[in-house]
Order: sequence, then structure tokens, then C-alpha cells
Amino acid sequence: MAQKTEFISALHEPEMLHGTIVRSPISRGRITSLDIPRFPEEVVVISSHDIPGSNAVRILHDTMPLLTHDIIQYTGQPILAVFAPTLEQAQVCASSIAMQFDTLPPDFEQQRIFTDSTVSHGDADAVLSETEQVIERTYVTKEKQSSFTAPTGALTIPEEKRIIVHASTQWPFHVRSCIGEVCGVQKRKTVVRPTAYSPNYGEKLIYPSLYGCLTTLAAVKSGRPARLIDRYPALSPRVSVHRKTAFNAQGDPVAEDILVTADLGAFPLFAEEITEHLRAGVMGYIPMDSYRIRVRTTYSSNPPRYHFDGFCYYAGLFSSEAQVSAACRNLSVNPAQWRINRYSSSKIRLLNGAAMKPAPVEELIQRVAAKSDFNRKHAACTMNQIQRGRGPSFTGYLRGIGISAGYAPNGFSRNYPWEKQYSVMVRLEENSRLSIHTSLCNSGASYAWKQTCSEILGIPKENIEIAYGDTSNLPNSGPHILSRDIAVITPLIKRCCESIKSQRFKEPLPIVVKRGFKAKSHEPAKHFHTFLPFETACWAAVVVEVEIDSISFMPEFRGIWCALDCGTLFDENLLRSNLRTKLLKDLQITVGERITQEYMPKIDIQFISRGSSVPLSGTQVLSGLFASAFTSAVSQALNTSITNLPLSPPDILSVLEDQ
Amino acid sequence: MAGENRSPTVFTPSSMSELLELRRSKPQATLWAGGTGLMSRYYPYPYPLSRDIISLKHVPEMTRINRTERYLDIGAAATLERVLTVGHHILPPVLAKALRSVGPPTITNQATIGGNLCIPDLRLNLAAVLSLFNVQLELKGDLKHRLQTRWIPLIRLYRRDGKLMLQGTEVLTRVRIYFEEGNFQLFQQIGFPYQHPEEAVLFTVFANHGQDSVVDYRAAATFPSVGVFRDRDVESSVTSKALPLNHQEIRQTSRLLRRTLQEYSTRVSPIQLARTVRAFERSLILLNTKSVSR
Amino acid sequence: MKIQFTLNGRQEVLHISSDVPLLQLLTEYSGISSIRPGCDRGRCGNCVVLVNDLPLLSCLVPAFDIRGRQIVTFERFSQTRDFTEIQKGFTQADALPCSFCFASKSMLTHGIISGNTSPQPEEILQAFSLNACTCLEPSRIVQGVQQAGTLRGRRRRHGRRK
Repeated sequence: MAQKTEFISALHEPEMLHGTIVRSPISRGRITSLDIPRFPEEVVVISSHDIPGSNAVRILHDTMPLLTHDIIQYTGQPILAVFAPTLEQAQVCASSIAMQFDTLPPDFEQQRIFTDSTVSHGDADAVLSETEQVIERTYVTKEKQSSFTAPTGALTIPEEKRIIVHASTQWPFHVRSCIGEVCGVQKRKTVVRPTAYSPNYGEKLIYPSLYGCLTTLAAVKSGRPARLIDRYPALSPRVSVHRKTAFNAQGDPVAEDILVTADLGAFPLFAEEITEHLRAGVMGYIPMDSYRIRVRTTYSSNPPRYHFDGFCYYAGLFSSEAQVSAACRNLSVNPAQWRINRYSSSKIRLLNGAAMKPAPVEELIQRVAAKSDFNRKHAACTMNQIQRGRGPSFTGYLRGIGISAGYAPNGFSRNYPWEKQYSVMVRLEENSRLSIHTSLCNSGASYAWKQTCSEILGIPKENIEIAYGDTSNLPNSGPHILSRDIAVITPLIKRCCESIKSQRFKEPLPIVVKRGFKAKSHEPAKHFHTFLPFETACWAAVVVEVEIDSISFMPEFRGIWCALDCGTLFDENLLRSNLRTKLLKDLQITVGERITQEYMPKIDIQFISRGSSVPLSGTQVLSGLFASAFTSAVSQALNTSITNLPLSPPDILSVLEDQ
Repeated sequence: MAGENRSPTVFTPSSMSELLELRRSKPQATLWAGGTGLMSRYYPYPYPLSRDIISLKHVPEMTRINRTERYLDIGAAATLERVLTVGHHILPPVLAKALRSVGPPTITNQATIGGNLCIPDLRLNLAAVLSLFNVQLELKGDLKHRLQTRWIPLIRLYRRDGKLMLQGTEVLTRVRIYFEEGNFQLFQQIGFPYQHPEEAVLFTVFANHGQDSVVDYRAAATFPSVGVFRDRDVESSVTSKALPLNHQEIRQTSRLLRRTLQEYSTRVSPIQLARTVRAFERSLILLNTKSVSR
Repeated sequence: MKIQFTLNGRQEVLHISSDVPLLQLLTEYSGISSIRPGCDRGRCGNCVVLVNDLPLLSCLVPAFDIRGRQIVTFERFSQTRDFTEIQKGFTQADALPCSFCFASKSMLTHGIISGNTSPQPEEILQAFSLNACTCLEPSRIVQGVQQAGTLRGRRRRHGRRK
């Protein structure tokens, strides 16, 4: 069963049909006519009328139509899928389909509220109105668009008694259940084989399920294999965080009013999880007696927004840390020292007073500040800001340095009942050969799994293999999101190995152990008052130094320094490389993809290992922390508050011109 | 094959006369040199282009590069990489830099000098830098029902609004660059002309100076979505000035540049304006530094 | 349109639309699986093939332009000594690219060191400027290419002596 998986674009089948999707060119309205010319026999057109089951893809509690024949709710909404023996023919046929619409004015204004929840304590309004020192900012993280990702698609091969679906999916069992619901194919007759899907931006969580349904409909209709690869861009939600924070005379925050709004597009997906992640992200680490946190998700005529870097946690974290930096600038204090003074208690508390496990945040800040020479550079940049004289506009430099520290969660925010079905399996065979079975077999965390098994069972890593298979022979391990592969799957594999260890040399081979998740409660965890939310959390500190080029008005990165507590470390070099890759992607998004290979900065990454006995994923925490350290650095360079991301040269110019 | 019924007809003339004849009989056909611009902008196909394509690569005169003592003659369909290779050591450094800035060899192995100059709605890396030199363009085509050849200076290839000024069925066939010596040369690509044409600026300077004064100063800027800018008043405000220029002089000329740019086109965006003025100021500072170091 | 060309040393004849990008021609019609495009628009730099031994982005080359030309994809290139050298060079520099961009980075490297076995860092990074995959730090790319160049240079000198 063990074999390396290929990318979906590399899979070809004899007689295969190639598909393309006909999408709506308008953002809101109604289809009034759809004129499909008479195509050659081998061309297969799939419309909503060809769907035997439900015309909707279900994700937890939310649904999204697969194909529409009537109402259009966003630009790019799928209307038809056209399959032909060649992609070219499919595209030519698709372009010859005439559509007419009654258009309605689109709604991009985020006015329709989908969910709205508030947690509060004390009378924040009263404290805010009584306090003199109030900092009020709105932090906006605009839509991020996926770019440069592995192909997204699905290939369905109809066989006599079953259908095989290859999909570039982060969630193979979701593809299977969607096909069951949409195409009416029994689950046991559907076999989904995950193909390679990295690099991705999370767009492979949902899209492959849609494409899998379409290819299955085409394959069933034509009796031929059908493949569809699509590059429809995945966008993250636009998140706006309005924060109003009151500070006392000692510079301590005493009350905060936070309003978070996330536009989830035409069909909100994962709204509950996004709400929880945003709420956790905006929390900050200083308890206050009075606070109000309101999180709203809205729907609009934008295309559905997808899971993208941790359900928007980064946007919340960005706002928390950027607000702290803005406060430090207003108070004229060193932001590293301010954080050390307040984040360094042995038990960190969240804004609502909830205690968190001891975090090594002081050590992380000190390390990263020492490595980057933060204190000296921060003082020098502040002096330069003050002394920047007149003279020609090209003299003087616009340089700044920013710091941020915080954590990001791994795993879901709560124990969902459906998590009970998720499991992993480890099998020990003769000659000390061990295989790891999980539906997340394409995860990059396999090195950590092998190392874990090797350490517990004393088996050489060469004897351990990851079983590449499909939904018929791999256990359902859930979606590959929120770093679950590292933070959730690794401990399960560890438990399997410990069980094998206790049975080894007592029980006959093969020894097969399966371990699943234990859902503690069906209720949302009461993490806002009791304990650290989520499965685990990775702490980090980041320093970014930038200089604004005086001619191009582009931020040039003079250095990026990170320190992380990633728990148990398996392969430091590999982890460093993964984190750097992630950071460079964030960096390109932050400046609107204006950095090419020639101008990529050096990134220094240090690890400490104190907080956890399991490995932790640092990719999410870096996104939020990098964004806030970057905006703090640019804010210092420009002597203003930068609150919107991404930041473009015209934005920087307009700040300078305003000054 | 099913797609064949929409396949554009590709004509591959093998001589100049054949090319001109095709151009006359198929005036709507798309002229195809390297195709990097066309392929990256109109994909996914089917392209909104005419169904006929005239490929220029097989006309020997279009790809030939000739070097004499006085000039370099470059066929319009010669790839940028070949221009760089053949022109190694003889191309003015500023032009070599501009050619390199077009892209990595994966692009310059394919992109052509004619394509770079003649993309209908986008002015790219070479236009401004070539406008500083004595560059003559050979145009061949049907003018007043007669096949004609004419030579024009580069600046006359474009209208003030940046649009191409080819007449009738004319084709750009050759680019002739006369060699010149300049002891101060600068080319700067600011931003990304392809991805952000409304923000990018390609700024270039070619000058000669002695220890005490500027003998000859030429500067030009390309605004990809607007056109090529070169102004004699701005240039003469620097030429003959004593070196080093003082702050006052730099400010004055930079104000003049700003005013002239604002008059030049309203389509120059604020970021392009600011970038050009800053790049210009910096070029004067560098000129000062260089003269002092001499 | 009839397109005749050489693919990985084998003569190919296809009847295909004249303006289909080479990328699509190879992946859809010629069964090439090593190309992993990330954008389709000349931006990701991850669909490099060798056309007459020059690295080009296959998404920017129209089908009619490859008539009579030699196309080499990673399937063939990975079996050559040129590739072994590049792989060795990158391994020695502890700079192995990810599986997604490996093919393109190898052929870009080949393009550089075919002309100059001692490339400067600027030249290397300029050649890689359109390769969007960030799996390797720029300094590692430079080390990998330079090491591969050293190996190529050594082979050339050795060959000449013989």
C-alpha cells in the first residue's frame, strides 16, 4: 500500500474527460436564459438538474450550493460543468454557452449579519468614558488571495462496483461524504484517494469536494473517467477589528471594547469556528475588569471565504499585538520591556482573567530582542524619527523596528461530537516493520510521526512507513487544518505506540492499535473563564526591522528574527525550513506580493522547548505576530499608526504626504 | 481534433517580402514575435485575438544582429538574451541593465526587442532608455498603397498618450542604436511594470560630466500604462550646471520636473509622480558624488 | 494545426490548436506529469522546460512555436548526468528544494551553469526571480547552484583533459 502520491495534474486515465466550470460573470441576480448549443456526443454537460441527491455541499452545519440554475449570489458561482475528451474542447464548448441574467445591485458592504456574539464583564463603556488615556484603532486585514499553489482538482474513475476518486484534498472523508450526498453514491462504493496537495493556502479543504462531486457526476453520466482541475482563487475573509482601550496612569490597560467583523462572503462556512478563533485572537494577555468583545460574521455578495491560515486567528492576534505596540508608542516606552513586565508572570492571564498554562514568553522576547539588538535599534530609530530634519526629501532614512509576542492555538476550539470518529492506526509487523495509517498521509508532519514511533519502540526510522491509501483502508483522521497533523495526530500516534510497546513480545504479530479522539463534552469548552482553549498552543516572539525605500516607497526588510516554543523538536532544520517558507509567504501577502527571490530577507529562527511534551505547530502564530511586528516597524519608520494590511507603496506615500 | 476548428491560422513568412505581403493582405492578423507578453496577458485561451497570427521569427532580417563601428543593428524579433550576448562589452551599461531588468533568462530567451517596444497598450523596460540614445527604428509597410521603408527616431514611435504611431500596415523591422559614451548612466526599475503598471516607473539617465560641470544630461521615464516621458527643459536645467549641484538647485529642478510631469499627463498616478521625482533627485545626488570622487 | 517536434528525444506529431500553451500541450496531450504549474500566467515560474536546451516557461510558449524544436522535460532531464550533478550540488549545499518546485529549480540551474560554471549570486537570484516557491532561502539557492556549477566545471575540465 505504501507508495508516494502524485499531484492531481499528473494523473491521466485512458479515455479520460477533462472538465471546466462555467461560472457566473455577475455577482448578484438571476439566470434568465441558458442556451447550451448542441455539442458532440462525447461532450458531457452537468447542470443542477443532473444532481440526483442534494445540490449542496455540506460543511459541518453550513451548506453551499454545488451548481445554480436560478439565483446568483457571487461572481464566479458555478452554473455548469462541461467535460470533453480534451480540455481545449471543454473550454471551447463552455465559452459557446450563452447566458443571460437579470442583475441586481451587489451587496459588498458587510451589512447582513450571519452570527453575532458578545462576551463581556463589568462596565467597559463607563471605564472608557472616565479614563483620559484611551487608544482607539481599527485594524483591517483585507482579503488574502491564494497564489502559487499545487493544482486543485479531482479525478473520478468509474469501475464496475465502485468509483475511485483521486482528489487533492485536505479532507478525504469529506469528499466521500459529499459524493454520497450529492451524487447518491453509497459511501462503501466510493473510494477517495488523496493526492499530493502542498503548497496550499487551505483552499484544498473544500474545493476538491466540489470538484469530486462534479467529476463523479460526469463519470457516472458518461461511463468514462473524468478529471477537473480548477484555479478559482480562494480568498480569506476580510476582518476588521475595532479596539478601544483605556490605560491608567501607570500605562496598564484597564478596560477594552472590541468589535470584530468578518465578511465570510455569499455562503458563510465555519462561522462558529471563525468566531471562536477571532475571539481568542483578540484577547490579549492582560486581564481587565471591564471588557466587551463582540464578534460578528457577515455575509455578502463576495465569493465564499475559506479556511485560510487558521480560521482568522492571525487577524485577531495581529490586532492585539498591534494595539499593544500603538500603546507603547503613545506612552513612549520600550515595547519589548513593556511586554516583559506584563507578560512575564508565571501564569499568563487572558483579558477575561482566564489563567493560562505557564508560557515561556519572557524568555522568547528576551532571546529575540537580544539576537536582533532590538533595544538599541528601537532607541536609534526613535531618535532618528525625532531628528529627521528638513533638507532634500531623499535624505534621512525611514527605518523602524517592531516586536510582538503571543500564542496561536492548534486544533479546533472545542470538542465536536463528530470528532469521535477520527482516529489513527499503527501496525507492527514482523522484522520490526511499522506502518502508520492515517487519512492525512500526505502531511508534512510524517517526519515527526516516524521519530515519535522510533523513540518509543526503538525501531529504526527506515523501518517505519506511512501507509498511502484511500478511504477504504485508512482510518478517518479528520481534516488537515489548524495544524492538527502535528498537534493532534502526533499524540494519537504516540498513544498507539505506547500501547504496542506494552503488547510487544507478549502478543503475536501483527499488533494493530487504533486510537481515536475522546470528545469530552458536546458543549463548547468554557475556555473564556477556565482554561487555555484549543488542543495546544505554540508561543513565539517576532522582531521585524524595515526601512522604507525613499524612492520606491516599498518596505525593505532588514531582518526578521523569530523565537518559538515548538514543544518537542524532531527535525530542527526541517521545521526551520517549513517556518521560513510560511513566513516568506506571509511576507509576500503583507506587501502585496512585491517581494521576489532577489529581495527576500534573511530570517533567523530560534527554538526553545519548554512548554509542551508534544510537538507544536508554529506556522499560525508567526502569521499574526509577523503582521503586528511588521506594522509596528513601519509605524515607527513613518511615525504614524499603520493598521491596514496588506500595505502598498501608494498607502505609504499617502501617509508621508499627509505628514 | 475538436479544438482545431478554432485554431488560429499561423503564417510563418520566411522572407521580408513575404512578411510584408502577408501584412498587407491580412492587416488584422496579430504579429507574433516572442509572445511572452501576449501569452501572459490573454491566457486562459481562447484568446480575444484575431484568428490569424503572423510569426516573425522565421524572417532572417528580423532576427539578425549586425555590429558596425558606429552602431548596433538589431532585428526586431531578436531575443533580448541574444542582444545581451552579441552586445556584451559594447552595449551602453544602462541599456544592458534595462535589458536584464525585463526578466530572468526564462523570459529573455524568448522575449524580443520589438515585442518590448510594440506591445500596444503597455510601455515597458526599453522604451525610456532607448529614447535617450540616438536610436533609429526601421519601419516597413504599406504606405499610400506603396511598400515603403522609413526610419524614425524612437520617440516618434509613440503618441503623447503612449499609443503606438505605426501607420497603415507598418511593421517594426530593425532597431539601430548608435554608440555613445556617457560617464554617468543610471537605470532604475521602480515597482513591477507588468503586475502594477499604474504604480511602476522605469527611470533612466544618460549623462556626461567633467569635474566642474554637467556637459550633457538626458533623463527619461516610462510610465507603463501612460507612456514615455522626456522633457528638454528639465534636461537643460541640469546641463551646463556647475558641479556639485547645491540643495537649492536640486530643489528647483525637481520642482520643475514635478510641474512638467503634472502637465504631461493626468494619468500619471501620485505614486509614479513621487517615485520619478525621488529617482531624479537621487540621480543628481549621485552625479554630485561621482563628480566629487573624480 | 499539425505540430511536429521532439519530446524527450522522441518525435511527436500532434494535431492541435496552434495557440495552445506548451504547458497544456505537454500535460494534456503528451502525458507529461513532471510539470507542476502554480499559476498558468508566467508568474509562478514553476513550469520550466528546456526548449533547444534553453529553460523557458512552458505556459508562455504557444504550440506553433515549438515546431521542429527539441523539448526536454524533467522526465528526461532527471536521467541525465547534468541533473545528477545538480542534485549532488544542492545536496552538498544542504539545499534540497521541495518536490513541487524541484523540477523547475533543477532546469533553471542547468540554464545558468550551462553558460557559466561560476555564476555570481546576483546572476543566480536574477535567474530565479520568477520562481515563486519559497521553500529555499535565497542564500541556499545560491550555494546549491554554485556547488552544482563547480561540479559541472570540474567535469568539463576533466573532459577536456581527456
